[in-house]
Amino acid sequence: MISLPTTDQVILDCRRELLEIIGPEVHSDAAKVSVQMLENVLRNAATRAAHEIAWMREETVAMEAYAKDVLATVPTAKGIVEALGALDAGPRQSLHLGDMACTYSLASEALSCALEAALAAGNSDLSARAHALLAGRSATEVQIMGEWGFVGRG
Amino acid sequence: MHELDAMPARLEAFLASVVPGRRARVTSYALMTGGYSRVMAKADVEWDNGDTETLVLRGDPPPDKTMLVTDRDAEWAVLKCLSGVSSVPMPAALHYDATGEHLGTKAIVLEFCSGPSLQAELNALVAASVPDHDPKFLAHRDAFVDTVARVPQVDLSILPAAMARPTDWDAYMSTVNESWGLNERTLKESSPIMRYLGAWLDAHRPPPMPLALQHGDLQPANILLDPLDASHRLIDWEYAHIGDPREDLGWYVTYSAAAPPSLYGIDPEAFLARYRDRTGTSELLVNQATVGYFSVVSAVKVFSQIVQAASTMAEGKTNGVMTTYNINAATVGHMNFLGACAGLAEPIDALRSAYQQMSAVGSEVTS
Repeated sequence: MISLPTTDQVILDCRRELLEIIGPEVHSDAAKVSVQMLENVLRNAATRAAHEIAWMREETVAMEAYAKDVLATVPTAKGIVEALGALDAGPRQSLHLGDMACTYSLASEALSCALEAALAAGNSDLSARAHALLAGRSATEVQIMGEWGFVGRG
Repeated sequence: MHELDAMPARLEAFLASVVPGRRARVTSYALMTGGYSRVMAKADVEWDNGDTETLVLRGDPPPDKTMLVTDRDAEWAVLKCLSGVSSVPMPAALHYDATGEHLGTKAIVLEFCSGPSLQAELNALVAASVPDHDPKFLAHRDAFVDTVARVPQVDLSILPAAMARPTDWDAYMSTVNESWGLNERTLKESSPIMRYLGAWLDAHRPPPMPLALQHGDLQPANILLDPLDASHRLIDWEYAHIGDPREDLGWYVTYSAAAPPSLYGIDPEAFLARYRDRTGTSELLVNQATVGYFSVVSAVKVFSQIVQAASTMAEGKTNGVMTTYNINAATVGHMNFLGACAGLAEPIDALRSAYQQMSAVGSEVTS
């Protein structure tokens, strides 16, 4: 395959074409709003294309470790064993994007079960760790979002 | 409403059916921008006696383009019930195509208000670099608070019989908080943040308040200004429900974080003091901490639908840039909700303790 320009570069060039060539020819208000939204979505997609495999893999490791720690502290917690089992049975060795997203979702479910158990047990350390993991996930989302505001509202 | 070229004739036929004995000619028909959930259009109509009128049509988007799902029958019922309530003025709800037989989708026909939205007015002030403590901003802030304060004072007995009436505050909060997890479990992708929010909110309940009518999406884009006196007309009642009266306050805090400027952020204490004055509510119940709590609670319906729309798109069932674009709204929500949880646990728990102590000794908590 031809890997350069990278996918994010290709997407950003499509965005440039949209803004410089197509945008000025768009005259209906509804279509102008669509162009503004597309600009934003293309920017988001470029950032994801550049980094999302690495980001999902790193976060999956952290989520799995947290779920195992909660299970060790609250062995009776519901759902964690099953969620970790599903993660192990999933396509976790594959780097194809669909498989990565599947693995990430399975690890997220393990985290969900674990943080619910931590909160229900009133374990402040584990609850704080859960919050920190989620704050890290949120920070990644913000990086993908970049500058954003509602367009077409008013 | 989805076949633009056919709409003038369709609207003419519809008006003939709901206004017997009169004929209308549609002289112009155009889609409106500004709404994210419904298809909106503006039509100029000339009646057979020479009268002219501008109408607004509000219908559902095509199923494969739907991001936010709400019930037009329920919205029409709310509009009809509130149309005679002078404290919450709104554009007149004129007609309803309840089956979509005429207009191609269930659609409400409303009076057109020629004034700008409050959001447009605020955007214009920002564009003109008017500082947020300028009297123009503060006047809009005060008028906005007054509008927000009027909604929960509507008599619940006039609302549609079909509107859900929760039995008590605790049962209502259990249902709302549980909905974070229930909605999350319908998604194609697991969302630990939603599960965390549901669990956290339920573990940190504030003091209760009597349930009241809530608009559900009370923000400046849904307030039209009368061109004569700038009085408010509230639109888009699709999320109206009976709930905690702090939900509309909290929703505005959430919304304005994504769509500045924030009339709350100028001076939260002044904002809330005016609200308490207008509603006769105590500071124990309405304060920055409880509003912060409800900034998360109030978001569950819209937030869940945004992520549900993304999930449905991932299954190949829908399409449209509105869905992918609004994933960023979920990102803003995640960031703000987690921030709220981090800062609110202690103050909310302290308020709850104070409330319980007052209740135990029989002190009255003004609500």
